[in-house]
Amino acid sequence: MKKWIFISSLLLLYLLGKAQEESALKIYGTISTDQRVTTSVDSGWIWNETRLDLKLEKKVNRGKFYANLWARNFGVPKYNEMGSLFNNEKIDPFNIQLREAYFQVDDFLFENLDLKIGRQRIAWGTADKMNPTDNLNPLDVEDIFDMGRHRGSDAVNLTYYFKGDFSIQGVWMPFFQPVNLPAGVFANALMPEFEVPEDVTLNSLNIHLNQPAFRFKDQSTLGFRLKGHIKGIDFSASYLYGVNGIPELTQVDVTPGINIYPWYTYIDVEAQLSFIRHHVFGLDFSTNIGGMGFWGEAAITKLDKDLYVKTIVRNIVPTMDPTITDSLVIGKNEPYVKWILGTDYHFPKGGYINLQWMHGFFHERGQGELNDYFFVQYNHPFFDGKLSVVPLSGAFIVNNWKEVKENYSLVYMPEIIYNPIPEVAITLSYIWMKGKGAGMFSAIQDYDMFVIKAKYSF
Amino acid sequence: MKKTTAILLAILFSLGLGYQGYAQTGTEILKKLDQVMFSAKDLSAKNKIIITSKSGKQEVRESTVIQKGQEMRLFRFTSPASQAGIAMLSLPNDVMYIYLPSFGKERRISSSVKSQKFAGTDFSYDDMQAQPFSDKYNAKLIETTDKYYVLELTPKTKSAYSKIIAKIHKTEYYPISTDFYDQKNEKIKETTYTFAKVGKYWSASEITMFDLKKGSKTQIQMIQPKYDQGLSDDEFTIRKLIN
Repeated sequence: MKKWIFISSLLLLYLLGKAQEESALKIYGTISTDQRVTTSVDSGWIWNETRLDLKLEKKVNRGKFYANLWARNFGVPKYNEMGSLFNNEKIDPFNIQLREAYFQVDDFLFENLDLKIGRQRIAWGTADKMNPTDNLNPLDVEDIFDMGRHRGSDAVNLTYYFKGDFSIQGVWMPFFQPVNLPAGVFANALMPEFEVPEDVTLNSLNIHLNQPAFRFKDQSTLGFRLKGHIKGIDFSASYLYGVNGIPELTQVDVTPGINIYPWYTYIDVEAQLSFIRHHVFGLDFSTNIGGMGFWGEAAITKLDKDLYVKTIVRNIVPTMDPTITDSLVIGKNEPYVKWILGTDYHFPKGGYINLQWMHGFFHERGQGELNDYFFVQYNHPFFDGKLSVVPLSGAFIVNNWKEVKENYSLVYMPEIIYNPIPEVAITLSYIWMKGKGAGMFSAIQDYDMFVIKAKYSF
Repeated sequence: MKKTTAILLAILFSLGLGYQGYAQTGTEILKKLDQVMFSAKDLSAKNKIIITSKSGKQEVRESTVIQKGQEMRLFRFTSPASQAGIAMLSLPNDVMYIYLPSFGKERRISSSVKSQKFAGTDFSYDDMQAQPFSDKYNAKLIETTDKYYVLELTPKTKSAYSKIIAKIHKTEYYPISTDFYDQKNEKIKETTYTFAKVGKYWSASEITMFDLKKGSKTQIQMIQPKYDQGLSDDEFTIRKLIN
């Protein structure tokens, strides 16, 4: 082990030495605020974020250093106990995130081979924000309306550029990082409802997460991507072997009980969720036909092992044996395909439209469980782009084509963006949601909201 | 025989076929303009872009640009902060990519963007694209004066313009001005050029685009142009766009 640390240190010093030359440190970023007030239920303020998004960059003759730090006042203060007033974290909820911090060496070892080491965002795919093939970094769905946001991962990233339009990339991420789920009132958006029989009361529900062991074979992610351009078509083929950041239900332990007075039956449930290792084979393309842009992506996911849910139903008489069943959820030989197709067009008078059809959102698994998502956005700039009006923006989601009326979600998000000076953007929008069934936005449809954002770039 | 040939050549020269005075076609003049505009093997420069509104309010943007040959260009904003880092790579066959630092990856741009205004300036993406005029337009010589030729350019493919009237310097073949007409044949934009000799090349030190409908104008000033630095094709790749 000591030997490896010594060799790694030498390598690091060598790389730093190679990269440390010329140019000044650039400091830039944004200061922004994002405030949301719901209009549908009595929840009032549902989002409060003030963010300093700080970027540090130093270019050197054959590479660069780059870091991105978020310092945020995020969430609403909670001070319903006297002790809270002694706790700054409750009065002013504050957090700092190191989103990225890496250095890059161009022409590392030999010409046209670039190396990036450190926490970094590696974005794959050609679609707009929603990319089924973009699975290296953990998803950041804290804000479910900020689609496609990912966190950086600690990685070693090597890309070799062939002469011409081809490149091949290899990525190794030693540590697994799980998804961070939606914050605040949006927490329910991705959580499936736990159903219990009508005459039974759910007394308690405890959910445990099985964290992968800190061993390379349990934590590591490997990825490869070949990218190219032939006859006007950009394309890439990718492969990833890693752990899905969204945990899967693997065990349910149900203990029934009877309450004597008042008389009712209840259950206590202990659930276990595990992170599942998978193979993802990806393909994507983008091109331009008749002035319109077209793109598509497909990701074929194959689990490393069969995914079972073990159900343990304990007998009401503790001395009697429980009933144990294992149900196969997805077999390792049952791959499923998520895909997206999209197009965009710039109108001569300045409008821009973007349409996408996606099959399978990031949290959906198994061929039969993938829903259809239709996204549209039209924006029109006025006054040389100082004002952008987005009258049409939203999504239509269908969970079951046979009963669309009972299984859909609709989101409509018109928006106005005003830039009084080039450095400032003020955004005013309204988010309206409606749905039936188990759709993602159905679960949060009570939270229609006004959104106001302001951002200053420096 | 040799004597006859020499006499014939002498007659031809005396008739003026050996110098510029002979009647050139619009296409030949346009090709000469392209030779002037794209004569250098490559170019690297900084740009200062000054946008002046009808009321006189000014906004300044800065960028770097590198160009090779007739169809490869990499343009990158360096200020203001809200646009710094945004880059556009223009390649042959109408292939254009944009890099937005917030996305961390390049994006192919559909060619329909060409008629749109480039980053809030009075130039369109089409105007900013590195492509020879003679590739995009058919030319007809409509007037010749002591100082310049006047060409009528009509687009070879679908364009936002119905025609362009271009004044071209009679001896140096750089553009003096261009007037852009929309599909209704109304003059909508006007460009004036200031050229200066940098080394052996004529260099557009300032290009001003007037939007006649809005009353605004955009000046692009080229600062410290450097020619023939030996830029390799590798400078015009996705690898360079995203770094």
